[in-house]
Amino acid sequence: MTTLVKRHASALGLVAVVALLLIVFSDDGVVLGRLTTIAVIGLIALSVGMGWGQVGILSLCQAQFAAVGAYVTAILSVQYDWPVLLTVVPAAVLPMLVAAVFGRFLVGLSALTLGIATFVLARLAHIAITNGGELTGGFLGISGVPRVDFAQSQLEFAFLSWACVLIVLVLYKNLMDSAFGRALRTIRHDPLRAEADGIRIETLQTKAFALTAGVAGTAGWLYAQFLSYIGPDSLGIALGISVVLMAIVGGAQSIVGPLIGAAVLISVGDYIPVESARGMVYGGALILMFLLAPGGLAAFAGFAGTELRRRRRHRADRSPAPEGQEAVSWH
Amino acid sequence: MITFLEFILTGAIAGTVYGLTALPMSLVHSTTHAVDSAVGGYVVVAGFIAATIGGIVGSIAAIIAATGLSLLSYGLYILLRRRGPVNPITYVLLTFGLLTVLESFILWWRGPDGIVRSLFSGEIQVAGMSVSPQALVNLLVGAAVVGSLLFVIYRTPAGLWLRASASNVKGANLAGLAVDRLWASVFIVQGAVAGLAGVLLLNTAGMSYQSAAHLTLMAIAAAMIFGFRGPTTAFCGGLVLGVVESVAIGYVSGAIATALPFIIILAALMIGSRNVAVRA
Repeated sequence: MTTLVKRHASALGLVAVVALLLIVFSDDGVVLGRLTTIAVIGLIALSVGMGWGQVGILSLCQAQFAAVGAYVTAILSVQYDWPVLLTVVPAAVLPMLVAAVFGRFLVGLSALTLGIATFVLARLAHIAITNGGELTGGFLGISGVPRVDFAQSQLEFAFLSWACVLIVLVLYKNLMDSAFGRALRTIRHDPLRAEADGIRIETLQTKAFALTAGVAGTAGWLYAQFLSYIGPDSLGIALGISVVLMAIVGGAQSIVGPLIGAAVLISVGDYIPVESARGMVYGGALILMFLLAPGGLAAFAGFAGTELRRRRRHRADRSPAPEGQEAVSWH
Repeated sequence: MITFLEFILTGAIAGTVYGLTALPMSLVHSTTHAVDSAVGGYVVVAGFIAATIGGIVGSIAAIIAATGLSLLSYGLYILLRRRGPVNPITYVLLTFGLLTVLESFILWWRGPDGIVRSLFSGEIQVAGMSVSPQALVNLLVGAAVVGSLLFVIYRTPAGLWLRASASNVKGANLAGLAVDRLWASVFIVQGAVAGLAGVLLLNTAGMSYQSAAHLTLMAIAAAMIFGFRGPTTAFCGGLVLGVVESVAIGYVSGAIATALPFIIILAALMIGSRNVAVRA
């Protein structure tokens, strides 16, 4: 049990802090809404972090995978009367299938080309959604998406969202500690070594890309219920870019980094009086992060913690010996 | 037949702007192996400045502003290099941040509405086709920029130094060439050409704050079509994309017309990327 807690310390710590905030601000609708937004958008940012930070796949279409998940939820629950809880399966699986199909052709590309190709995919997805006729509701979208029975209130839904975050974080950490995760890390850092080890690079990368799409699809499932509406611009191209910025600012290689990035940028964004100026803050934060802390906020916090501990140890070593003990001289 | 040729000509006009955005980006890539993804932002900022000030003064101010932004990007590149060897994708992402800042700045400054300006009224007849005089201006400017750049790169000592610094940085430094200044001059050219593209785009199809990311996408795709081989092929790639876009809109209707250029870009990226890989 202790080992389990130690292994997932960062994820558990983060979710514990959020759970405390949810209890303290249980009557404050604004805070609950913001925390739920952070959970949902943070999950999409996490899917970017999984792809870019662990596998080297820079995807600018994660928001569109989330949109696929959200539309699946909306279509099945509103138009076909499926129980919302059941729609989580197709909402996660369909984006995975789409990613697996495109991934076969895309993962072999260079990081830049892959990024641009996924951006083009995002544009194509947007065109498909707006021209989806009655199925997707066209430009109007689909409204009246119900919530799962056990999370009807804002507080319950916030807890559900963060429970999903915790489950994804635990599975993500386990995955990265498994042979599959180690193989992915080898591909990220030394593709030649991976090939020499007999790792089927493109197959593994395609699987990882599909998994990231599954996480984004789950976020979409939450999103459709949270706003009880999904439209073509709800999870649009702009959000696809913002989540990349969040993942990098928070630290794409860290397990909780993208969530931290989402929390910081969403919170800061809410305090900027002019909405149109948010991009300046997001873009500026990205530039500063690359120049000052390339590993993101999570890596910076880790470095600061290590440095603090080192200095404290150093001070303790230099402090005078307690009474009754003589300082040992080596000279 | 005439209609088809008109579509091609219309496409070539839009393609000139894509080409003029891709050309300096490719020049920077050929020299420094870095891709400045904020180049679409310089084009749009230049266009908005030209529209706000107006006249020749506005156009000159637009080119100066775009050049300044490109130099700012070079400053960021220098700061990154101080930390050690720069991973090309790191610079792409950093300039992506700059692009986001510029997009947001334009949205904050001028709002979400697009702008367009028309210098010429009426159309002229060329070989039985109705052509806007602006079309001819765009094509002439595009040809002049490509010709001048090719002349500088292949026929002048500065071009030789530039090519030397591109193929072997250490060797160029040891030979006494000021590589940093040479690269700065490439970024100046990038900004100036992007500024020019902004002025042309303002007078052709117009622009909004959202055009910045679209132009960057088209520029990278244009450069990728022929495998990031150099400025000339990047410009030609831009022309090809413009023509494909125009013909698709002309002959196919509905959602497919909107999607077709993106499908072609996707195919071009995949083929172009394989070309780069094969050459590597």
